[in-house]
Amino acid sequence: MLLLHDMRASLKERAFWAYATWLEMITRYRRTRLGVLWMIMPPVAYVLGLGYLYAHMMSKSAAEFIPHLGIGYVLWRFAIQTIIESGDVFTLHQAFIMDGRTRFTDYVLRTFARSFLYLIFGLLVVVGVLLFDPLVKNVSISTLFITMPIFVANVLWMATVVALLGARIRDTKEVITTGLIFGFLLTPILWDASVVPVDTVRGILMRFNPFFHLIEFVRAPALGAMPEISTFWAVAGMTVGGWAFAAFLYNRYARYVPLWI
Amino acid sequence: MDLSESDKPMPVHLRAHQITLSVPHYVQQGRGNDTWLAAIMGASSSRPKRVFRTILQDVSLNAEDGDRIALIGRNGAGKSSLLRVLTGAYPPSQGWVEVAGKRQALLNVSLGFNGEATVEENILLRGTAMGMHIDQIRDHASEILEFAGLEDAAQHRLRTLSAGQRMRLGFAISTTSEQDILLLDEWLGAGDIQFIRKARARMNNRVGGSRIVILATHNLEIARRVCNKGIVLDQGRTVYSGGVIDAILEYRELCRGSS
Repeated sequence: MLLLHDMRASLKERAFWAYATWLEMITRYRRTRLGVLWMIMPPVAYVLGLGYLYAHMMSKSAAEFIPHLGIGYVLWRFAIQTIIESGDVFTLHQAFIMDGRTRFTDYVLRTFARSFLYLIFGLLVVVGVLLFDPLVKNVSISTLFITMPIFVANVLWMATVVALLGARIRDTKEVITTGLIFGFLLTPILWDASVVPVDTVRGILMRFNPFFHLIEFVRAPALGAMPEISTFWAVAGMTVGGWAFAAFLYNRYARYVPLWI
Repeated sequence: MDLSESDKPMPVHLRAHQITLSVPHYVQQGRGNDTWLAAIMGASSSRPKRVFRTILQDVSLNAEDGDRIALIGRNGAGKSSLLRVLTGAYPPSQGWVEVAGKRQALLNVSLGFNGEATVEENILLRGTAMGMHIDQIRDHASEILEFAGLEDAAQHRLRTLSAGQRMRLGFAISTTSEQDILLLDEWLGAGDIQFIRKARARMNNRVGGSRIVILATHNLEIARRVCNKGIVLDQGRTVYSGGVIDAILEYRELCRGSS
């Protein structure tokens, strides 16, 4: 499998994508007063500030709502950042590709690494909130060690697929950007999955949204609840099917990428 | 280590056999731009057509150990495309490339540079882009700064450097480690005479430098001084292939004939 082979090689030789991403991040904040602390500011503002204000509007207690919003927001931000930026990643790295660096997973991992770094900072805030929250048990928080890698693996195959499609079809990025604006409201980030029960037409429609399941899969156990059975099946199917699809596309089309861009 | 083994390194070669390359292009439909309104509306509404264009036709190249080959030709003759086939980026539509040895391309001067980072950080950055390890590059850093004449600017941000200085830095990094095959596109011209002399010396140095150099250039002076072989391309076809002096004469003839 070419994709697995390339991905493994890229993960082994991290210097190219990891160092470049890290340097890009720190130089961005180099001349600011707060420096790298700026990376942690958006999740703090969003999770604590917005969480507190919205808890009231959703008639829930802050202790209940802030962790709910926090996990949903951090995961969603990571997913859309990675996927949107993957849309033109090969075009952006054209100069490298023309130099004969045709291990395309390197470029996918470059955008991935950037949003992953933001994810880490976001998770620090979220875990901090969870540890202080009286309603959340520490045992539940530890489920993140199992669910997060599966979530991240799903975003990674999506990024690979979008990167390949985006190289050939320039509409990809626009379609995704437009679609994800809806996605935020159709995914249980601000609202709770229980308001669209599975036995209603609306509930069934909502469950065609992959992020409905992916976010529930991570969030529900962390907050001490069980996700629906359908969520487990959906996540398992997406992980296996998604990687298989990405591998198929990559094996077949990756070599045409230099001609497309 | 077996000495006889290290005395005789693996033979290096780069051969391209009858390469034909078709590349998809997007071509905008031409429309009458009679009024300024028509020009604006036409530009925004016309959809490009995808057409295949043959950029190279039946081009062969044979580089053996020690060869310095100049690719000469007018703008749009297919020099850069041939280099991209040789780097392995473009899969040829027909023909094949045979390579023994490690290839290092230098088609883009500012490849992988980050303007906001310091010169020293950019050395690491570019080095990792070439597949070197961070420790390995760090060992070479002072030598690179010296070759580029930038010892005093190591902690400056890259964007404060001039185009020529950046070019020196790029060349110095890319040629720091011993390469088997070096593929260069026209950009040495941006350096001053002193630097070109230095770069030429490095490329000609067969012990420490690369064992094969392929150089696309318009600068016939550089071609004559650096290369022993020359290939003249015109409209994607080989017009001449042989010694560099004859190649230059052939190219001059070609330019005269068309003017």
